[in-house]
Amino acid sequence: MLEGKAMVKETDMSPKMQIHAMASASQALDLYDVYDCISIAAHIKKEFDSVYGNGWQCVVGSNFGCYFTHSSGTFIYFALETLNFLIFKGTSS
Amino acid sequence: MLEGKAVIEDTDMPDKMQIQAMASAYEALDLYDVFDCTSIAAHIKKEFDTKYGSGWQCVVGSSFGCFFTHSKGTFVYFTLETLNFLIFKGASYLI
Repeated sequence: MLEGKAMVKETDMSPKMQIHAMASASQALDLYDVYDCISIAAHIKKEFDSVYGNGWQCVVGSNFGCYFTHSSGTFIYFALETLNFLIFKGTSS
Repeated sequence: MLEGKAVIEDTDMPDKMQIQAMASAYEALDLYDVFDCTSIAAHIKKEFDTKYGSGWQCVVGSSFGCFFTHSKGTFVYFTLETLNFLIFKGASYLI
């Protein structure tokens, strides 16, 4: 992986899951172009759905703001290269 | 409201809910600065949680990409002024 080190801005995830999130992001950046935010987000979301169960959401971009409700222990927001990554498991009700 | 007309890019929401989404966005842009994406998103999400039950998510910005699973009939993506708005109700289980 050629990417620099990811910087976690905010999270309530376990350290192990955090590492997985950042590894998944690095992997996605190897596979897709940095401008293809949707494919990058798709890669991460699908991996998390597979490993930790359905319901994950992923936002990738250089300029965005969100407001959301998430399940406990499933939220991480970090920066990697020029992009910001937000991963969380949404709660339906 | 001084804003221009919103343009819907993609949706599976009923018409009435679409109108509510755009009205919430207009209202948020009156209340907050265009650079304060998080407050704008918060305003819209809270309104939808109140009216249509909890679990709504809202993304606002000029440059972002998402991949998500949403409940049926709860998704709208539109542009208004310089911002893009994504509103959906997250689903924990695939139906």
